[in-house]
Amino acid sequence: MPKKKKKKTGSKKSPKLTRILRSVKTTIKDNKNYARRLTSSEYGTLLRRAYFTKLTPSEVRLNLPNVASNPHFKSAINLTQKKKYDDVYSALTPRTNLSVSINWAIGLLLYQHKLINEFIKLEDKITKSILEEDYTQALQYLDEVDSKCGLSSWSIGIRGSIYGIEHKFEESQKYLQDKIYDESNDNDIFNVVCKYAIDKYDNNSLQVSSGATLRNQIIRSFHSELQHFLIYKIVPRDFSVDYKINYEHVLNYEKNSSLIDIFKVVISFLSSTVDTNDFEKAELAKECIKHLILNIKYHVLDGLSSFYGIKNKWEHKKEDFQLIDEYSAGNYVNVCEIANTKSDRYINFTIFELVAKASARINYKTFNGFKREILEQLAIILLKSSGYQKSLVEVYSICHAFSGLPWFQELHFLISREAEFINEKKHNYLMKLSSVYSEVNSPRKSELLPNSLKKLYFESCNKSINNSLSLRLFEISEDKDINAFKDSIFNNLEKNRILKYKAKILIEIGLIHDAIEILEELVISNDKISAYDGMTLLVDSYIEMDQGEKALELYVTEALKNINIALRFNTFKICKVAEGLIKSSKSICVPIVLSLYNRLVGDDFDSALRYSFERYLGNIGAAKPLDITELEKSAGLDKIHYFLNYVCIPDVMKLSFIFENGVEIEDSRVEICKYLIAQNISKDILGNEVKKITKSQAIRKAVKHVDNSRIYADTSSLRDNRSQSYRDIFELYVELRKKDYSLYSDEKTLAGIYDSFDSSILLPKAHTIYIFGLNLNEKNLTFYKLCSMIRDEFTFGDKGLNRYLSTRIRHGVLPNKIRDCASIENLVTALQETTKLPKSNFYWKNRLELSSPDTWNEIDKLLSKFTLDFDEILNEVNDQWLQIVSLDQDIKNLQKGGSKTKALFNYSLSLVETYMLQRTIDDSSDYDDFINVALDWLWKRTELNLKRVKDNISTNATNRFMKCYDSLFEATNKIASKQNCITELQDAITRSKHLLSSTLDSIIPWFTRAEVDEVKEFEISTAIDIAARSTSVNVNIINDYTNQINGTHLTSFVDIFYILFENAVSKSYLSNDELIINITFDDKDDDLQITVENNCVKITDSDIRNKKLNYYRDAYGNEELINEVVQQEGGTGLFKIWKILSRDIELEHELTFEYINDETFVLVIKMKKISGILIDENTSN
Amino acid sequence: MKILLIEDQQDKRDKISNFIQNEIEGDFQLVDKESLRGGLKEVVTNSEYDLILLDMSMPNFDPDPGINVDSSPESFAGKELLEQMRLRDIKIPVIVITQFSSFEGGSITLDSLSKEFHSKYNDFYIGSVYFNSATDAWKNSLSNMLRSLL
Repeated sequence: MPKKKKKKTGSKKSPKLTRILRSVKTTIKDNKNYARRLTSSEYGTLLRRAYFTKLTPSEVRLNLPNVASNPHFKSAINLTQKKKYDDVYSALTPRTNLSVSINWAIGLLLYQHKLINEFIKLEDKITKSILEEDYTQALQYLDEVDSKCGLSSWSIGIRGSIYGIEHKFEESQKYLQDKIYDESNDNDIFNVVCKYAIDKYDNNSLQVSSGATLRNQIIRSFHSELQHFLIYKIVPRDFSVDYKINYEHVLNYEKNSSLIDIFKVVISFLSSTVDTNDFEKAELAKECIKHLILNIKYHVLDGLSSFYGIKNKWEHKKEDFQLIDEYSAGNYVNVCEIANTKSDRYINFTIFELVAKASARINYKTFNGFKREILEQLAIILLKSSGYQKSLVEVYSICHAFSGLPWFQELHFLISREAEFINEKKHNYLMKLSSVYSEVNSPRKSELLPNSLKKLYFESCNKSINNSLSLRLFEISEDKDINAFKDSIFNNLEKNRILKYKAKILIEIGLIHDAIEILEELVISNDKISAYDGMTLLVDSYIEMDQGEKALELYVTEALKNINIALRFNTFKICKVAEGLIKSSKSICVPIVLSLYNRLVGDDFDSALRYSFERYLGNIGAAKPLDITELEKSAGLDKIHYFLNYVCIPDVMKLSFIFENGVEIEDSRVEICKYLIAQNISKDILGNEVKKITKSQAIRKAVKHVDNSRIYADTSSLRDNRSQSYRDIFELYVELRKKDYSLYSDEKTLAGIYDSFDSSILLPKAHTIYIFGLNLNEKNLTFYKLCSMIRDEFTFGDKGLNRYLSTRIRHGVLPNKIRDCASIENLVTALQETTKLPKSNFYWKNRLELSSPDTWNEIDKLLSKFTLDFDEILNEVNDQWLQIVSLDQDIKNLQKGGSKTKALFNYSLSLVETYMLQRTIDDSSDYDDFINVALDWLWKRTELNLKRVKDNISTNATNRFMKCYDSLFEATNKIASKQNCITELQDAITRSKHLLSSTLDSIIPWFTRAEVDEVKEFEISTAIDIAARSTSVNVNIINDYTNQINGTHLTSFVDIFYILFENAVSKSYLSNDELIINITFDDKDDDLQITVENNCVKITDSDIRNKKLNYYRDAYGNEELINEVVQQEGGTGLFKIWKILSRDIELEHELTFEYINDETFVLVIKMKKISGILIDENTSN
Repeated sequence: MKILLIEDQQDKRDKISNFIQNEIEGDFQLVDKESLRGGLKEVVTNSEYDLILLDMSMPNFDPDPGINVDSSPESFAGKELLEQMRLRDIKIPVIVITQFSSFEGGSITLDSLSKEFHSKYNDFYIGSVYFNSATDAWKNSLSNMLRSLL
């Protein structure tokens, strides 16, 4: 019997591959450049390069089995299975384009498909174990994955999160040390990835809340390839961010990682393409899916192949459909009970989502343990109820911790949709992802299938399931058949669901007016989830019907009632409507809509908001913002208050011509704040705002000196309405610091360092101390992350240091000033556009009138070289030195791959440094105290940086510039012996050199902190004036106290008088016009006594009232009691004064107060050793 | 021809002004403003301009040491002016002249910003010129744009 001819497969070495591999040998043999014998490693590199560059992408995939046993390819194929990690992410394979990389990865997955299929089963078991809180079992499965497939950052991430949930902090750090650090041979990138992977779970959701900070650091500091890789690997995923991962870059690292990480990156890439407009990428994805589904059984691949129309057979489970039908019928108790009976079994996410929605509606407690925890948080998110933000961050945190598992990815897609609509495109992307990842071939899945498959899909469902309510609902939705609701099957459909789907169909077929009628019924439903669905549809319908004002009114009313639902709407679309209404509308909702977007989403409509502020006032005939308080009846008090609080802010009002200048805008804002404070709205925050404005106005009047400095950072966002996220983390830290962490190894290490050195010596150096492998406990980590976020706001915030550095120095200002020194003498010429070489210097050509063209050519060359050298130094100073670099300790050691290696503004943090700061603030410190300490520290870091800049300009740059001049001069000297006439040129060189030298001297003072809102010294009357204007009270200063107080205490004194005046207003029961405050100073020896006396409404019981004040007298100075009450609001003013005087200013003092008669209250502060805070005129200290 | 130059740096203003004088033959009037508010007020109250030459980064308020609130330049003040013009239906041709070749730490290039401006302000945005005193490229580029207008 003749032998059957073997079918040609990829496993047979192709002639092309053989030829390529041989050609490498021949090339080496024939090439004289290879004078020495190549090492095996060098030879391997050449072979692999030839493989990846000379084969087509599909050949790269097909030939992988043929090179699997080749010793030079083994490492790239076995990866971490060899249990060595020193070459993970290194150049096992060369950098290639996306198509080649992905084909190599697919080849590898297919070659190892048995292992991958085993992994998929184990992944499923791990998910089940985690959801059932059987963490021991989950860890065993992870061991199995590692042992079969090799260690992966995927398994490290899950393992670390399990340790985190179980509070096995020390264990996770030991694992990191023993398994990774000890085995990785200082593989920096691998170590960083593993460190972030193992720390993915944290109780306090810090990884998620500081995710934006980390992302921005990476974007600012690393070149694109490493940047995309790090963002893919270590930054929590955030669908609201416009950052598209470049998988070509990611794969160039990831294809040299581990089998599991490669599988994960391939799935991630394929999933990302469901949203792509790039035809080639989509085609590449389709090809990959076609190959993978032949050998790998994975539900996400099934979903992808359905999405791309590759698959046309589906399995449907009856029990899933039964539950979906119960849900559709509104039998929510049944849904929960059925789920409860299965609670010991795995529940796929699609079903879990339905159970969550059902249980949220009826407040039914389903499941136990971890599943119950997620379900409860999800209910809060779905209902947008109290605690919404906290729940949202916590669930995001869980999603991040287990982001390697599809179940948790699906959870992430759901809450991202629920949290923020973002825009149509992103919303649809999330819908597609949910559909692709869903294990259930449900009726809903039909919505996102290609049209060509829909009919087939419904047939497939109908074959498996009889008479399904939900299936029928999606069928008629697809057919847009409104009359089909008469079908008796829909008698069982829940009434709100009928309304919603009817409305949706009516909208689809253009009967929007009819849809509105239905939706207006739906939005008043007690079923909140359905009502919210109705609201979003109703707003869209109003917009569709050109009823923009109605849409805005509904949106604003609901958003002000419950701010948590604001982002459930299509806010971008709503803002577009508002923008279109600016010119004509008299609705207060127009500016409010735009302001809500600014506060909750971003700055896309900031310009429209500014315009709408001005036009709204104009349209309603108001001359100034406070005029709108008369519209209470028509506009509604909550809307008026919102408008005044959030729309009438200086940044919005700045372009309005109802104000003549900036001061009028500030004055208007102060009046608005005072009005709102009187209405009891945001008293503390608005009070601080008023103080800040009035203080800065007073200082501007007082300070007349010319300030040359250009270094500034506006940090008001750390204190005003925008500071909430920082305040939340600080509060978390305050809670954590109550616990004892003294036995934690990081606490011991850091405390050891702190206690061993004098802090004044240690602090300036602390940022340079790097302790490898030190892992922070939750208290230290929280504080570290908070400092990192504050640092980022200080440096890269909207009005941070970088903005001033950029606009006041880097862009044009410094380069022009320096370049002018040379161009004024015509020593430099402009560069040619095409060659980027200096143009010929015609000025000196004409001026020198040399007889010999050769001599001129020589001079022209010298001047050309001078131009290039001069510009090189200038560019280095401007573009490289004057940059800010700020990296957290964990990624600092990757900086060698960074783009800012010469940056002189270094704000990278070390753990020692933030620990020292932590020790600087005591238990009584509140958020404002912390901000004072943090800003003080950041300015100290800035001073160090400024010193480096000044030193570098005065020595390094100056020397190099001078050398540049000297070289030119010396070179011209050689020519001067031949041509006397070039003396004129040499004189110009000398003049220019001297001018540059003095210019550099004049530039150096730019690098000094600008003293905006700062004074060196002040008279106490200034503080009284600021506080009096902030509280609108009349104050008489009976006698003068003219000693100058150190400027650093101005805010403290303003705060003291502000508290006293506020107390006088609130406790006197007099109007501000009637209230009279007299202040007297008594200056004896080194003591200063300040007596503040105010009138009050006549009382009949001054003795009783004085007795009642005993509580405050007794408590005053009792630190423990004060620390407790000072954090609270109301009735704590006097204690705050104690804190300011004792802790902030550190003045020994006494405070007494009493009603001295029925109409007068007197408070006396006696401050001792006052000279300690005065400016000594003799020493200027 | 009446041109409005909105630019806060004296040095750059002089260079542009000198260049315009050499470039435009015949009568023309050049008015300059130094801030976003100053520029916007001029644009809103005076529609007779044939062209606006606009800096990208400038302060919000005109310099006035006595009452100045915040004199530091805003990175995207020029963009704000373009946006205000769009919102107010003002369609005077605008050429942006900026010393920034990139924005937001290099993440946005001038080219990409210009593309965005072309799509958003198509009916009055002419183009962007990268101003760098080290080269004459800005002059060529501005000259070409002016010629397309004249």
